[in-house]
Amino acid sequence: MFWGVVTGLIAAALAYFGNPKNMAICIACFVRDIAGSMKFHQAAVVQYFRPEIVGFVFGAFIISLVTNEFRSTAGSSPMIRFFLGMAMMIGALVFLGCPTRMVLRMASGEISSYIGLIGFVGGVVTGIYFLKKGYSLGRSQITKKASGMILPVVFGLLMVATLVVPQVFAFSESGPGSFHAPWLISLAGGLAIGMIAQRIRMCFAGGVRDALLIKNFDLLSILVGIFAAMAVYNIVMNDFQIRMFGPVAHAQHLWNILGLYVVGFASILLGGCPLRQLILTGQGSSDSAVTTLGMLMGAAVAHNFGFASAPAAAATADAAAVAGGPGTPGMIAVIVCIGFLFAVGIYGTKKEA
Amino acid sequence: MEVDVRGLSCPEPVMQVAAALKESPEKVVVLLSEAHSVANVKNYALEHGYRVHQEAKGFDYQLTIEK
Repeated sequence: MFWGVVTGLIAAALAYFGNPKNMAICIACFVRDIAGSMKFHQAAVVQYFRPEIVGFVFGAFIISLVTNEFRSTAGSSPMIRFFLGMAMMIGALVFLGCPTRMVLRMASGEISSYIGLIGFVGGVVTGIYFLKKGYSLGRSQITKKASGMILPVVFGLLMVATLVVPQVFAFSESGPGSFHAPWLISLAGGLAIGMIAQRIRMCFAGGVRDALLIKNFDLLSILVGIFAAMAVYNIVMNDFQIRMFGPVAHAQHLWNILGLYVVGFASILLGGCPLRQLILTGQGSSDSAVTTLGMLMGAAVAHNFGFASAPAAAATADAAAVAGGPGTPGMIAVIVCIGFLFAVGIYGTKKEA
Repeated sequence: MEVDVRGLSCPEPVMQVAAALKESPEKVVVLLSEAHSVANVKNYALEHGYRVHQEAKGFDYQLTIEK
């Protein structure tokens, strides 16, 4: 609980210093922004190279080297994981947020995020069903050290590149991508959370999974801590408000539920939520590094093919209210992702010689 | 009874150890490759009233779980 509160306070500080309020440290949003800043998609409002993501990976990388927990591993069905990463991101961008943002939105009083939680828990429960049937993507093996180090190092080099040659990256001039804390604060916050998350094995899907599967509430209590810290911050800043949705969100209930259903289900099939994948990447897992690249690809695909939901907006003097939510392509993508996840679940329970 | 959970994703190590402890409630020896799995399995065993002894096995970890 304590470290959850600390993480929540860091998230609150990042929001205070300029990150979008109810995103703060959203993994899906920030990976999406990075995909945009590298011009993998052209959605002009969500392009910014988020130093937090670099911090999460690098923080876990540093701390695992220091504690001698760094293990360069690979080989647990990497290409299946790549596509699970893509599916996880597409689901998140239909809900408009990963489980981290779901908790942050819950802490700001958004009813739509509580409705999304139903889907998330449903996805976790479905994943547990397959785990109990013996689901596995197979064992990873020890591999060349460089394989585990390469993605953390590349993220670090990209971070340097954004400072040295910013002109080759895209930076949003309006919209959520234009809201950000100063880069050094973002990086420091990301590093701190990366280190904490590695030490305490923070995982949003794992919290729900362990509570239901083995009646262990360690991971869940961390999430309660994040929720509590963020809720107090929102109340103090007068941002807590019971409402259907806040900024960059929508209240299409079915799609909030199904979007997070995909995220919860994919997280269990992968063995960890989007944040956990970044942390495992930092501690040397090439399987998680491939998943991270899958998330990057998923973000690009979600925006290039119009899978990502549109945010809802209240009516103004010049414009009518917008309901937001996914268009037909997004709805089809979510259904396809759910079909894919069931296929992986069923395939993963088959014993191989 | 010995269980090898090296290279398995969460929560497979804990699930396999839990199953092994059902089959062999007196003693289970577990071979693990990841520090986070060690923490998870250790917590599980301690919460269920077992004693746990940890040692390094080269690059891996070995936990001896006993009543």
